Parts: sequence; structure tokens; C-alpha cells
Amino acid sequence: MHDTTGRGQARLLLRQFGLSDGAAPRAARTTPVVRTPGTIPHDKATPMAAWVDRDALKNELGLYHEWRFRLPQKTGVNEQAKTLLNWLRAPAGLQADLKLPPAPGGVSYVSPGGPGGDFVTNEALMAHFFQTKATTVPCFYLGTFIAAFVADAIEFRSLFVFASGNQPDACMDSWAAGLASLSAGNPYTPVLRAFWRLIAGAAPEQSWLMLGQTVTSANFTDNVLKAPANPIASL
Amino acid sequence: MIEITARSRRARNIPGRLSRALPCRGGRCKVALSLPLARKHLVLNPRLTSPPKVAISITGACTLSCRHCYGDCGREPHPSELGIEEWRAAIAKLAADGVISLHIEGGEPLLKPGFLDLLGEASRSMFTMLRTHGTLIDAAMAQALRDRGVGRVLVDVMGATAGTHEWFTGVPGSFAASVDAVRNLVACGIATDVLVILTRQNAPEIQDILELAAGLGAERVGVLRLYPLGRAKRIWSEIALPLAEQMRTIAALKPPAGLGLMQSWHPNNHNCCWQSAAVMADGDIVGCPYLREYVSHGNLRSTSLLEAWQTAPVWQTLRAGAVERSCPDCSASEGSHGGCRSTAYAWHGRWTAPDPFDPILNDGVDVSLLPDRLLPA
Amino acid sequence: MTVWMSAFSPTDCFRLEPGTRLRPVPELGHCLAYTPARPALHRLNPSAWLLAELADGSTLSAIAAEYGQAMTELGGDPALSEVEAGLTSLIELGIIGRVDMAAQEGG
Repeated sequence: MHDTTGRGQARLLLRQFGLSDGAAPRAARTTPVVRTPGTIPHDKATPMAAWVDRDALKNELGLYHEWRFRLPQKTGVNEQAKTLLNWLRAPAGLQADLKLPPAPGGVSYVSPGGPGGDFVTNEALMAHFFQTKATTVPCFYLGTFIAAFVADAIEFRSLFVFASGNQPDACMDSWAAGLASLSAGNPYTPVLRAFWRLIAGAAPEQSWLMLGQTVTSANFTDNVLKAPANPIASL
Repeated sequence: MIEITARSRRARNIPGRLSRALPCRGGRCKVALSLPLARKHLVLNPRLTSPPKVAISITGACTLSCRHCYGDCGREPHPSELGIEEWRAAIAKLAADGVISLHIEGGEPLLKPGFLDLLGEASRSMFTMLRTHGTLIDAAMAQALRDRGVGRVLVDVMGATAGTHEWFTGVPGSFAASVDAVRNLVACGIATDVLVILTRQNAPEIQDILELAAGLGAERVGVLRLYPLGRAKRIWSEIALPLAEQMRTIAALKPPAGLGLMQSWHPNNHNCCWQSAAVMADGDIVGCPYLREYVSHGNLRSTSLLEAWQTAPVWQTLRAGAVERSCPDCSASEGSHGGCRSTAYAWHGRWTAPDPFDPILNDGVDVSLLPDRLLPA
Repeated sequence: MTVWMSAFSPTDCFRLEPGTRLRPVPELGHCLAYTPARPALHRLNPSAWLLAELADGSTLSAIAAEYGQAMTELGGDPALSEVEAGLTSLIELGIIGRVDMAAQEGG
């Protein structure tokens, strides 16, 4: 017999969503959307953290497509997530070489005082690209959120990587098409390709396309992150 | 039962597209490197057992005479409209059935006798949003709305100038009144958005509307698609823009710092039926106000919204979201598959049709022309 | 070395703010919360939802104990700082409040 009290339901949901080790409690004010939904601000003059309205992306019902890399499981460490995090924080190049213009609003893309001088991390370089260059390429539309969320998700229990597409193939194809549209000499291409490969490379084992799915009709038998059934409807 | 596996993803070979091998875990895989094409998708929409949010059109009465009015609103309410006590009971039932967010529009909701008290009651148990033309919102009314606990107000304009706006509304002075409404609402600390329906006449002014809204302290501007409903159908060829011009208008927008922009053109072309629940002024349950002329899932006078949600076959079909084709770039918000069902149905006559307002799914349809099936008699 | 300082006392009590309404949306893995006092809708992840449910006038110690038990069942071992951070977030959003024990005791 299920505990039908609020706390019983909450605990059931925790179990159902497989939060081993437990995700830190998070609560956030939502920004309701009206038809048309899709509140994606285009204010490129502000720092990315302010530019990306996460609540708006998710809308008040919290739906978004994500690839979830779960951080420490019950035993062991999620190697893909660790690799991705380490790569994000690693230098992409020296500011003296990249010469990124200062970001408006006082936020800097440059990390001071590396061995060779001030440097730009992979994460910051991607952020710079998404904020200043990616305007009409559809697949990079959400790339902005990928960078923003990954940057912000370090404190999360899971890394969330958003991609465009309601199937894994569409996500990957969308990114690949965008990458193909960049010129050979585009300085952002290497970091974008590297990021894409990390995601694509980790995807089969560690990713979980969540939400956007009818949880009762999807079979994740080949995926260790088994989708939950609807716990409350079954009560 | 739909099986989604990593292996099936890797094994897939999409005919007719360039492919290039890229390294990935577990060996070589093929990934297409052409622009995203429409593809057939097995549709997987989230299934809500009950809707957390509902939109209600509380009256068809309005003080304006908008040329494009979807509701064909007039000065007087229609005799079939639910009375305020009926709405009170309906909203209480909605709250009991799990609704926690209520969007109220009209006509002009403020014309409904007893509306403020109803708003106050509803706001005690659910987040309320009010869509209005704002001409009745002076400083005192703004304060009254705030005192009743409204969560957000959305004010419609149809241009950045009185000339354009009032060409649509037919009421001199209505533009200044709407602008004042935004100012009054913001001054009261109410979260306020500005909405505009994109037309041929106001397309050159959308950027100015963004600037105006930002200057007034609005939080966001929503640029809405024009729908072939009500009076808009009769003047469609006069006010509707071809899709390419719509896309150019949207792409050119540069929201001022701090202003949010809402728009549902590619890549935000959503099929949000899976979460939509709406009731019209006469109690008809329609799922979405944009479907008002195509469906009725029951009437609140004889059933409950939850009952209709759980049993009305067309509503269940729409929420399941089966579509013939889907735009891969528009799918990443709100579980979208195939775009808006209202415009898909309007132009193609099928619930599963692709939405012609998406350039990927447009198939050469000229959306500045009404299809024969919608031409007014 | 960073030392974490608790913002609360173990005997502090927490409860939902009057009028706050919780609306679970288990199909999407979260809970919505409405705060009429400051009209807003909030989204809580399951952990935050559990904390909100545990805020029924219980003390921090009791909340942390039950929260910890729930997480232990899932293989976790949450620190008190995580519980406090969650409660702080819920307080800041107006979803829960700290009960004034002095007023409660008629002081």
C-alpha cells in the first residue's frame, strides 16, 4: 500500500527518479508563458548567466529535453561527467592569442593568471561563441543553454546538456549540421567539435533523454538509467 | 511500446543525406551533415493525469471593436455566457482538481460583473494571469488588481503608434489608454507583459513596440502568431503576412536590455496541446483558445473539465500528439512535435498534419492566403 | 579551510507559509508551489518538495533526520548544510517560514 501523504508521494518520486545519493533540493520561481511559449531572451548585451532565463526555457511545467550525466552513483564515479567537467575547466587558449573582446556587463570570459598568462577556458570560449556569434543557426540556439547549464550545473548532482531534437538522433544531427556550417578557419570550431564529441561519445552509456517522453510508453531496457513509471497514477 | 536504444540510434542510416564517419564510443557511427529536415517521429508526449493550468475566456464583451477579433466580440455579452456564480463554482472545482495556474482572457475580462471578486477568490488558490486590452486599467484599477492578488497581467497592443493600433481597435484613444495601463500596472508592482499579434500593418513597428514596452517597465513582450479565427478570417488577405516575412520580422528583433521576448516561430514552434486546457465564455471546453472553432470537448454546465480531460476522445488524440512530420529544431521546448495543431488543422484539415507556420514543415503553403475550407461563406 | 556555519538552530521549526499550495506533477518529476502572499508559481524538485512536506511545524533536527533517512534509502548521505540550503531557498521564495517559537509559547 503506497503512502499517499504528500511526503510519501515526494519520497516515492525521489525513488522513481533514481536520485541515488540524492539531488540537492532546488526550488525556483517559474515564469509562466503564454501562447506563444518559448521565452528565449535574445539580449546579447548582457552576461550569459543573466541572458539565459532558465525558468523560461523550462516553462512553468518544467519540460525540457536533456541529456543527463549522472554524477556519483551509489558506487564509483561517472567517468563521462568527470571528463566533461575537467574539459570544460581546461584552458582553450591564452587570451593574448584569442583576444576575446571584453564581455559587456562586467563579466569576463578570461581567467587570470595561468602558467602562460591569462587564459580562456573551453567553457568560456563556448559561452562567448553562443552569446556573440550563434544567432540564426537553429541547432546552436539551444547550444546557448547547453553552455549555460553546463556551466551552472557543476553544483548539480547531474550535468544537464540540452540538445535540439526529440530523439537522440535529431539532437546529434542538429549539432552536426551546425558544426558543418562553420567555416574551416572559425576559431570556435575546435572547441565546439570537442564538446560535441564528448557528448556524443558519452551518450550511449550515460545519457538519458528525459522528459518529452511518455514515460509509460518508452522502454529503456538497454539503458541503466531506467525511466520511471508514473508512480502517482498507479496509486 | 516504443523502444529507444543507443544501439538503434547508432545503426540508423538516413537515406538521401550526406554522411561522414565520426569517432564515437563503441566504434564508427554515421552522422548526417545536412541541414535538419523534417522527419517522421514516433511521438512521445508527456501524459498529464490532470492539467495544472487552465485558460478561461470569461466573457465575449469588449469595449473595443478590433477588426481581427478571434472571438467576434461585441459590446454586450452573449446570452449563453456563464454567469459569475457559475464561474466561481467552476474555478473552485478546477482548484480541487489540481489546477494551480489560471489564465483569464476575454473579450475584456474587466467587463464581467463581479470579476474583481472572482479574481480575488481564484488568486487565493492559484496563480492568476489576466490578459486585457488595458483601456480600463487606470491607477485605481491597477491597485485593485494588485489587492486581489493577480500574478501577472498581459496587455495587448496592435502597434507602436496610435495610428496603427487604433486602425485595428477602432476606438480613438485606446492606444494611449493601453500604454497607460502598462505604466499603471508596473507602478503597482504587478509583473506585466505586452502582447502583440503580428500582422502586415504592425510588422514594421514590432521593434518599436519592444522599445516602448521596455521603456514602460514591462518584463516581456510576446509576439503572437495571427490565427484564422473570428473576424481575422474575414480580413485575412489584408492583414496576414507571408511566412518568410514573418520570419524576417522575428529574426530582426533586438530586444532592449532586460526585456524578455516570447515568440513561437521556428525554432519555438510548439505543439503544446499536451498540456493545454481551456474553457470559453459559454462553458465550452476546447483545450486551447486557438481551437475554439474546431473542437468542443464538452461544456462545463454538464461536465467537469477533469472529466472531459480524461474522456473526450479528440482531446486525448490531440494531447497524444501524433503527427505526420516534426521539425527537429522545434522539438526541444514543451514537448513539441509538428507545431501548432490549430494552424495545422486550419490549413490541412487533419490533426496530424504539419504546421505550415514552420519553415521546415511549410511545404510551400502560402499562409497569407486562407485555404478554401476556411473561406467565409 | 572553509567552515560551514549553520544559519539555524536545531530546535527551529518550519512550516508552510499560510496559503501556500503544493501541487505535485509527478509525471514531470517535480512539484509546483503557489505562494499567494507574493503571487508566484515555483517549481520544486523532488528533494525540495520533500523538504516542503516535512515543514509541518517540525524542528530542523526532525526534518533533517527524516530527509536524511529518505536519502539514505537511495544510497545518499546528505549533509545538514544541504538541508539548510534547501530550507533557506524555500524560505526565500516564501514557500515555508520559520515558526517564531517565542510567539508560539506565548512569550
